Amino acid sequence: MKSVKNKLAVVIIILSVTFLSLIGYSVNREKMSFVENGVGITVNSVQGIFYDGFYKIRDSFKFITNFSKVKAENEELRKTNSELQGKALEYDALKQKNETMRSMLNFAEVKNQYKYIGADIIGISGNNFLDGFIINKGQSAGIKKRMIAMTGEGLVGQVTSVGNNWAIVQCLSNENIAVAALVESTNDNNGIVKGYKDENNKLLAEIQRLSLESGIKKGDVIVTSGLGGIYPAGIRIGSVLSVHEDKGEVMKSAIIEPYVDFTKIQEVFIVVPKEDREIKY
Amino acid sequence: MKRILTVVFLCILFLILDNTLMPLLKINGAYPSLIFTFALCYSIVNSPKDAVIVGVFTGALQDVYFLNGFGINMLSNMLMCVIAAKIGKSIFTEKSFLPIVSSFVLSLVKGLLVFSILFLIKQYTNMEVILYHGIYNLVVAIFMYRFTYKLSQKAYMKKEWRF
Repeated sequence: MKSVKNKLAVVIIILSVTFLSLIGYSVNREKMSFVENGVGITVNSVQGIFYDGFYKIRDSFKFITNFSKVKAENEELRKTNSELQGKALEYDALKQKNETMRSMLNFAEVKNQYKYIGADIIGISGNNFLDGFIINKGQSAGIKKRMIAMTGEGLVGQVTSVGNNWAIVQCLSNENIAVAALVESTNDNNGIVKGYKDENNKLLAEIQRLSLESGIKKGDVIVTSGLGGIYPAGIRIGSVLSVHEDKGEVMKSAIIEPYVDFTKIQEVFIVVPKEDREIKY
Repeated sequence: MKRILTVVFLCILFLILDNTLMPLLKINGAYPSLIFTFALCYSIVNSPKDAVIVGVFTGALQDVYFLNGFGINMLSNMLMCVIAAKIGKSIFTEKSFLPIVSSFVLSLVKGLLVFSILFLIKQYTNMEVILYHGIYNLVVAIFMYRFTYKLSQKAYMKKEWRF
C-alpha cells in the first residue's frame, strides 16, 4: 500500500514539473500545436451550433422582458437614423471633395494597406480569468498572432492564439493588451489604452501616459493613432467617462467607455495588413 | 470501457456548455465552470489515481481554449483533483455537505494558483473575480455532486481502469 501511495506522489511531481515547463515553452509560440488544433476543430463544429442556439434564446428572452425598452429604443433609433441620413449626404459630398484633393496631392490611401476578414464568434474563452472569444477563422484565412479584431462600432481586441480554422481573440478589457491611441478633439497622440475594470466588474478601458497639459475632457472620442504600425489609424475605441491627474507620475489618465459592448458582439473583423511584414510589439 | 466513454463524453459536453451557455449567465463578471466542478465531484467519490487522470484530461480540454500557454489548467486541475480525492477518502461521501464546501475552497485555491501562474508569465488578471467564481461554483456543486454521486453508484461506473 505504501509503495503505491509513493508511486502516485512521484507521478504527480513528475507531471507538475512537465506541465510547468510546458507552460514556459508554449507561452511565446506563434502557432498552436497540431493536437490542440485538431481538438479545437472537432469541438468547434458542435460548439458553434450550441453558441448560436443559446445566443438566440437569450436574445428572444431579452426581447420579451424588455419590450417597453425595445420600443423606446426603436423610437430613438429612428430619430438618429434620420439625423444620420442627413449627415450621410453631407459625407458623400465631402468624400468626393476629399478624393479630388487627394488625387491632386497624390496622397497614398492609408486604409488600403489593410484588408478585413469577417469571422463569427463561436464561443467564449478564458474561464473567467481572461476575457476572450473563439472565432471561426484561422491561419488558412491569413490570420496571425497579434493581429487586431474590430467591429463596425470600434476596436475589440487582439488575436492571441491561432489554429488552422479557428483562433482566440483577447478583449481590450484585459490589462494585457496595449493600444497606441489619439484623443480626437485635442490630437494628443501619446496615449496608451489598456483594459480596466471598475468596482462592479464592468468592462472599461483606460487611456494613460497623456501629458499634463492635455486638454482631454469628458465625452472626448478616443481613436487608435496607428503609431507602431500594428493597428490601423482611426479605429474608434470609446468615449471618455472621467479624467484624473497623476502629479507623481506627471501624466493624465482617463477612463473610457468602449463603443463595443463585449457581451453583445456576435461577429468581428480581423484586420490583416496587405504588406507581409513582421508583426511585433 | 463504458465508464471511460461516459466520463469523456460528460467532460466534452461540460466544456462546450462552459464556453457557450455559462458566459450568458454572467453575474458580476463571473460565471461558473461546470467541467471543473464535475472533475472535483468525480475525484471526491473516486480514487486518487482516477483523480489524476480526470484532472489532467479536463485541464487539457480547458487549456485548448484558454490562451497561448498550454498546461496551466492541466497543472492546477490535477493538483486540485488529487486533494479532492484525499478529502473524499476521509469523509462520508453519502452526505453532500462537506464535498460541496470543499469544492468551493478548492475553486478558490485553483483561482489563486492560476492567478499566480498567469502573473509569472506576465498576464495580469482581476483577482476579485476568483471569489465570485468560487461562490458560483458552490451553487453548481450542490447539483453536480448529487449527479456525480448517483452516477458513480451505477454498476458500470464501478469497474477499475484497465490501463
